[in-house]
Amino acid sequence: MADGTLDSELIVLQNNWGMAPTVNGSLNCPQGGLIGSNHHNVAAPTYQVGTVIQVYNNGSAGKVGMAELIYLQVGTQNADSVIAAKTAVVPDSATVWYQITNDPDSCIKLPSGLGAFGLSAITDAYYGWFWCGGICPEAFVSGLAGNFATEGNVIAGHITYHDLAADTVGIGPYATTEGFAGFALAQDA
Amino acid sequence: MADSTIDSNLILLYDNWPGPVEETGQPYGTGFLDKRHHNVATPAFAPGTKVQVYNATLGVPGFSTLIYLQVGTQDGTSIAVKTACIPDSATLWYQLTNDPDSCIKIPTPLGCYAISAITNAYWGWFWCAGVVPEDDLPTMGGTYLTNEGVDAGGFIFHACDTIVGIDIAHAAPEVEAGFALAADA
Repeated sequence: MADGTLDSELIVLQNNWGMAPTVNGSLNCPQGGLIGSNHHNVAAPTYQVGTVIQVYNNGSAGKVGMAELIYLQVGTQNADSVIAAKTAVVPDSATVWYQITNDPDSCIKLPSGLGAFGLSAITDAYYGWFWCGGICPEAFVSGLAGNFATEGNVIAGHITYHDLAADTVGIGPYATTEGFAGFALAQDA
Repeated sequence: MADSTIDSNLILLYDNWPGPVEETGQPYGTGFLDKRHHNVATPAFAPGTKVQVYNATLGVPGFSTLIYLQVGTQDGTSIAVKTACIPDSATLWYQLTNDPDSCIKIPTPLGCYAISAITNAYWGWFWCAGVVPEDDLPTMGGTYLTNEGVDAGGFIFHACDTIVGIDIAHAAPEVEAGFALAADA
C-alpha cells in the first residue's frame, strides 16, 4: 500500500505516556521556545526525563487548543531517514523507556499506541521535546505545519503508530485489539 | 496458560482513570504508606485524587501517578504490594478488587497496582500511571504477575490463574472510550 499523508490540523494526539503536565511547567513555553538550543537537541538533559508541559496554541498558526510535549531522548534513529519536524517516533529501548526512534526495523513494537512526533532534526542520544498530546502546536513550532506521513489507509477515528512503506514510522489506523492499559518494553519471562 | 512475570522496570502504565493530577509530590506524613491516609477506614482524600511524583534513583527515571481509591472485596489471595486491581462495584466506580471472578469486567484497560496489603473497604493509594514509583515505594520493585502472554507493546489487565494480572489483548472489539459499571438496560 502506498503511503499517504494527513494534515496537521486533522490530528489530535492521546498522551499515553502516563505522565501528566507538570504543575509548574503547564502553559509555560521553555526559554527560547520549544526548540531553544539550551534545552532541545542537547547532549545532557536540562529537564527531568518524562517531563510533560502543556501549551496553548492560540490559532495564529494551526488550530486553537492545548498541546502537550514530553522531554525524551533519541536512541538510534533511522539512518536512511533521519528524524525531522513531523517525524513519528516510538520506544527504542527495552531498558531505557524514554529513548525513542523513527526506525521501524529497530524499535520495541509496531503498531504501537505509544509514540510522539519530532519537532526538528535531533542527534542520536540527544534530549529534546516531542509533541505527545492534544493538537499540533504549530504556533510554537512552524515546522510542524503541513502533512504528516501515514500508511495510506487511515480513516477518521483512532490512530496508532505504524511501519510505513517508506520504511519509517508514521500514522496508521487503529486495528489492534482492546483498549490498552500500558506498554511493556519486553516480553514477559 | 501458566502465569509468568515481568520486571517492574519494563512497564509503563497509561493513565485511563478520569481527572487531572491535582498535586505533585508525596502526600503529607511519611509518604504514601502513612497510616493517616493509606489503608484507612475513612478516606483522607477525595476519591480519585491523583498525585504525581518523580522517580529518580531506584528503578527507572520518570514520573509516576498514584490515585486514591477504595478496596471493595478482595480475592482469597489477598491484595499485596504489586497486586493488580480493577473495578469491583457496579455502583461505586472507585472500589477495586484483585478477584477476576468477582469484578465488573475483565480483560480491561482500567486498573492500577496496590502499594501494600490493604483491608477490605479501606482506602489508600494505588499506582495508576507512568513508571513504577520505586523511590517512594521500594517494595514496588521486582516482578509483576502476567498471564504468560505479554509481549513488548501494549497490554491490558487480564485474569491470571488466581488473581488479576496483565496480558496482551486477545479479542478484537472496537476501541474503548470509557468503562461501564454494568450492562445496558
